[in-house]
Amino acid sequence: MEIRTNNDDFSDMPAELRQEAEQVSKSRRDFMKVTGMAAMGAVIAGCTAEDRFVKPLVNKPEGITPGVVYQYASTCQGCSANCSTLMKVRDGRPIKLEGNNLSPINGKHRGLNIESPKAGGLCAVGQAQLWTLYNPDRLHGPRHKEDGEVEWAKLDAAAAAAIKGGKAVLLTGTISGSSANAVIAKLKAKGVRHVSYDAVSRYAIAKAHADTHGKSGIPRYQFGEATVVVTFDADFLGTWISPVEHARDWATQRDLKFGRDSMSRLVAFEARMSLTGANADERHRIKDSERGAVLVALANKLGANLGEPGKHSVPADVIDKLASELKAAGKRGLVVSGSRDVNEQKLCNWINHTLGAYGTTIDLAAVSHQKLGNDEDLARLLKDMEAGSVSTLIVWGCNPVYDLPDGEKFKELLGKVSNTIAITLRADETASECTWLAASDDALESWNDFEPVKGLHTLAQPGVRRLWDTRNGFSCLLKWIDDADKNKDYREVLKAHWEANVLNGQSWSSAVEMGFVDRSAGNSKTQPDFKASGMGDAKSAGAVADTGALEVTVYESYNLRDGRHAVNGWLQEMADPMVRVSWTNLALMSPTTMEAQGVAEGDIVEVSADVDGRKAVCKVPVMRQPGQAEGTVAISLGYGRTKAGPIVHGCGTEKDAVDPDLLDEGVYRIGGNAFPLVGSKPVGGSISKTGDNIRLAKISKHDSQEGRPILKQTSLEEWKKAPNAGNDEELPPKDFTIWPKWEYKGHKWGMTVDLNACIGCGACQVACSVENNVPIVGKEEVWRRREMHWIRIDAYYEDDSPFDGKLTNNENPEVGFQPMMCQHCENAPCETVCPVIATSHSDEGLNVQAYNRCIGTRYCANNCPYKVRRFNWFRYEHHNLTMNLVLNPDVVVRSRGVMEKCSMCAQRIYEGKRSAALANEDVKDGNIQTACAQTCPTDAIMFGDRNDAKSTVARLEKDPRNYAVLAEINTRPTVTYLTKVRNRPAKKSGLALEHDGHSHEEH
Amino acid sequence: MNAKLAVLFFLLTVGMAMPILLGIRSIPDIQLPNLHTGYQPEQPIPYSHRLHAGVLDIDCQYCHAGADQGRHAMVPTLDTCWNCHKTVAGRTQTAKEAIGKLRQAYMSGEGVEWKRVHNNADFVYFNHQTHVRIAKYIDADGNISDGIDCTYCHGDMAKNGVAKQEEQLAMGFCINCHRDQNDRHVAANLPARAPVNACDACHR
Repeated sequence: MEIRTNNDDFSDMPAELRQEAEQVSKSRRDFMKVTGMAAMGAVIAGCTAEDRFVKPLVNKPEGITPGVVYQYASTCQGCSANCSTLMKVRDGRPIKLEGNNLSPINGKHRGLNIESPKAGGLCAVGQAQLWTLYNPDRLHGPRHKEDGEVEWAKLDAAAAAAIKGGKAVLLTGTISGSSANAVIAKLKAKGVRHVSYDAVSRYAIAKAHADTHGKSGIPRYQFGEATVVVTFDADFLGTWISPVEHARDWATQRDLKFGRDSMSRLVAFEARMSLTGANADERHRIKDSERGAVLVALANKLGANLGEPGKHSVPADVIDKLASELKAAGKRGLVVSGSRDVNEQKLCNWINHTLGAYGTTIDLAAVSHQKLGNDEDLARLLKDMEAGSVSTLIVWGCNPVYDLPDGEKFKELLGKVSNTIAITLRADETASECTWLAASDDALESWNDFEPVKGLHTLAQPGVRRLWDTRNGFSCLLKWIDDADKNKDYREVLKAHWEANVLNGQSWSSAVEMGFVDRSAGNSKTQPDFKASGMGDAKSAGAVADTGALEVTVYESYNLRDGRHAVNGWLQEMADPMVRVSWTNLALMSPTTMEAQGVAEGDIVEVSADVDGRKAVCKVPVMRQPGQAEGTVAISLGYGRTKAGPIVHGCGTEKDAVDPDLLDEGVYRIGGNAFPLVGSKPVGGSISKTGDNIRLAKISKHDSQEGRPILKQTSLEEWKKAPNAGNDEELPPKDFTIWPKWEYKGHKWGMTVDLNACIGCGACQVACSVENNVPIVGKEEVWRRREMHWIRIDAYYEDDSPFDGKLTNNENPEVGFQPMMCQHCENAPCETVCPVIATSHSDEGLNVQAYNRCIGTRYCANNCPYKVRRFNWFRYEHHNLTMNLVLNPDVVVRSRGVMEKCSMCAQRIYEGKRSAALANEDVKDGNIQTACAQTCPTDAIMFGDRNDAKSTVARLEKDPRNYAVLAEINTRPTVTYLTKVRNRPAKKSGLALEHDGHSHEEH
Repeated sequence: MNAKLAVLFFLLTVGMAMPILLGIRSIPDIQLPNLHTGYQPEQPIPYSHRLHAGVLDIDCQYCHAGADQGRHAMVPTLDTCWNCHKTVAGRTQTAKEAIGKLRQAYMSGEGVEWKRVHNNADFVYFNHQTHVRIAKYIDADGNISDGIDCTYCHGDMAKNGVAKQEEQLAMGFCINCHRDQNDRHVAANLPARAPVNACDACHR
């Protein structure tokens, strides 16, 4: 821990507060006088009887009672995976989004053998979508680039005239909905060309299937059917195509609870350390440029005759073993690749075809529509714009100036288009270059439809009345082409289209109630035939290009994804799950590579490369990533937005720009834009130091367990021999305690976390923040270790060598994730030291915190062995009335000087008990779910009543994998964990090492 | 002057000087939070509980329809008033004037901004449904009744004209009842329905 030697009294305060304090503090005595008087004044004001008002509605809407939560089914539009959601709407505003349990995409109904009737998974991005809705920096109405605010009529007239003028193009992201495409078809009939692209493109998969199977499309991957999964940089647990669906399916094959005794195997080949790689049983570090060669070598072992591949770093015996594993798995094997190279994708197709995987683990008959972008169409559009043959461009739901590799060029090309119109939420990088800005509804304000996989039609409905003078994008388009439906609300258009084409006799209201209509039963099950001729020159992927000493690899960030969530404070603060740094993206390198490049953590560097004939540069700080391939630098996409608006409301600090040069002109930039580094082939790059250095906002400073059994783990082999493997240490006797022996006559709430299922995605963290009004504190405060998350996910990097007092070495460590929240100890160390009894033990087994009683001594946090208590150092801003609509009215907004922590979602427990009592029955297991357990895509977090013998948590108490963290100090937590089991042979030295008595350096 | 008197004199002086020092002009305004017993502010329309709930004997939940639905008992929406008052224009001059105001507020769609009489602190979570519909009330003799009578917390509103806070409604008021009822529920072998004494029942 750094000792701060700054003499500045107010250095710990955010800038605005500091200014204020500095003005006040001419001398300390003056300061004390002023604050003393202010405090007196506050006391008096608080004691005065002030009138408060209540203004009821004139007419009560039918079926709506103030203060009661109603749920509406909708579809998440955080990414194109389009999970089904339930909006919790209270008093006319959405306050929480949850997964729809019935959805085939993200529902958990067919998942694990535990009770979770109300849970549907949703990722961190999905949980955070409320922020986009309430963010007050959205466009409040239509605008003209020069004239500012305009009337809709004026914009409509201009757009209509422009479209009539011909040579019009509509540029969008993926549009999959049936009604949506009907509107697009109407546009096409009027001569408007439609081009769609995905910022993070998966077009290579579709293109490869067009050649090898005669069907262009991204198949639906069934990870739940696979027993051996091999991934070549496809981060399917993190960001790839449909991560919640893939994670849920994959986890069903990793479950060892209640008598299940087999696990699938996951083998990863990748350059950077991805979530998928971290969860892999076997992980091999290769550069992106070697990927094709390894694929060729693997295909050769499986019977292809593609000739000797280029030189790669994977030993032959690894390939041999993998090939025999895949052969044994047969049709239950699956090889996936995140490559943008069509030939590599074709090699995957060949392997999967050879295994017989089409029809089991891959469904090409009922394809996914989650990435429909067409890179070739986009390239043609750019050419046409260059040639001046586009006179009108409507940009909707995408941001090409920011997220095309050559965004600057696109900006120039926009100048060649006479009419540019953006249908947009905000004046982003692209929209601010367009003449007309049609302010669009947020996803939670408008009707829409989607078809994420063939036959599954989902609906999005508004959860709130429009906050501003905005309009549904489809309504705009219909108006501009002077369609017959132009004056109808889009709901009417959608309904009419669904009744004619989708519902097939089913009632509209039942579809709205469910949020989706599943017509996939009618899909053909016949897989298209493999055509060997389609392989073409696939073996050329085996050639390894020389990329020099440093190869650049870019990846979609877990929180901001392709950059569209850069304005989202929850996601900015959530941090990268692997390196646990928030508020910036990073140039990740292995410690050895960092040494070779002569850079240190926090150095701001310029990563430059020649990408497809362009000079691309990205300016980001350096961070170490153990487990990354040597000689590679990895940078995540989505950061470095320049027109994302003031990033954070509700957070005091806006000094979050990585790049001090960009602080002028009111432009704040968080991280660097890595899209320019996206190329068609892996490229070599170079690093130059700028000389600047920043403090990284690290959520976790430590990645080693120091040999202690905190995250207990073992191998499948050992577990099969002894089910308590890895969890067999002897604990000291527990009879002596100074605490009273608690008796729980009614409920005893408990939580169990299956470390085997936890993939470390961070969905629980954001869900918790949304549910419990957890403030975001900004980069400076995170750097001071003052982040407020009630649940954190510790990532532990472990390798074979015994702990030597240093941070994890750079070989190929195994990573384990452990969600850590208040453990609700029976013998709680926090309770005994609170001088005012603000924290106490409830008769239902929870450690409860009464905020209004807390005086902020912080003794409890100091005495907490799990370090899960959070202190409000400031009164985090809550004075934007629009943004305040996001707050959950059932949870207090904590004030400055107050300690807070996980309450096990007390409000949800009471709500559950209330609904059970109303139905005059006992609380059923699974009916009460904390926010984290509810959203967990893999059901790693399970909540229930330990006094109910039939509950999941009570049954799991008997599991030999069940353990409590730091059980040796006899805190008796009600949160327990299940040992992580990896599907690999036992290692010589166990990972849960006995403490070997090394002296530890402080890091 | 002996020492005791001197101390007394000093304390009195300080006590009298304090309000002046602190710049307080009207001492009666000072009240501890939530001890607004007797608070009966003037309302925009002088609605009489004595007439409606007393003389006419209208059930509380006819107007406060949220009491068994959720957290808020609800100050009724104006259409509830209008159900009757579209045909009831009032007999006395005062009533006619008051109902005239109601008509104006309803017809124009402006609504009425009432003063809240019963205010809980922001850090207290109280749910009407739990108390009115779910809870069982056990009296000292062990007689069990469904739901807690409104009068237990709100007093007999039917004896007041304009709404008035009858009870303290501070934490002591709540926790005393919770403790008593908890004991009585355990004695009556109804532990599952016993009110919770833990902090998180109200503070979360």
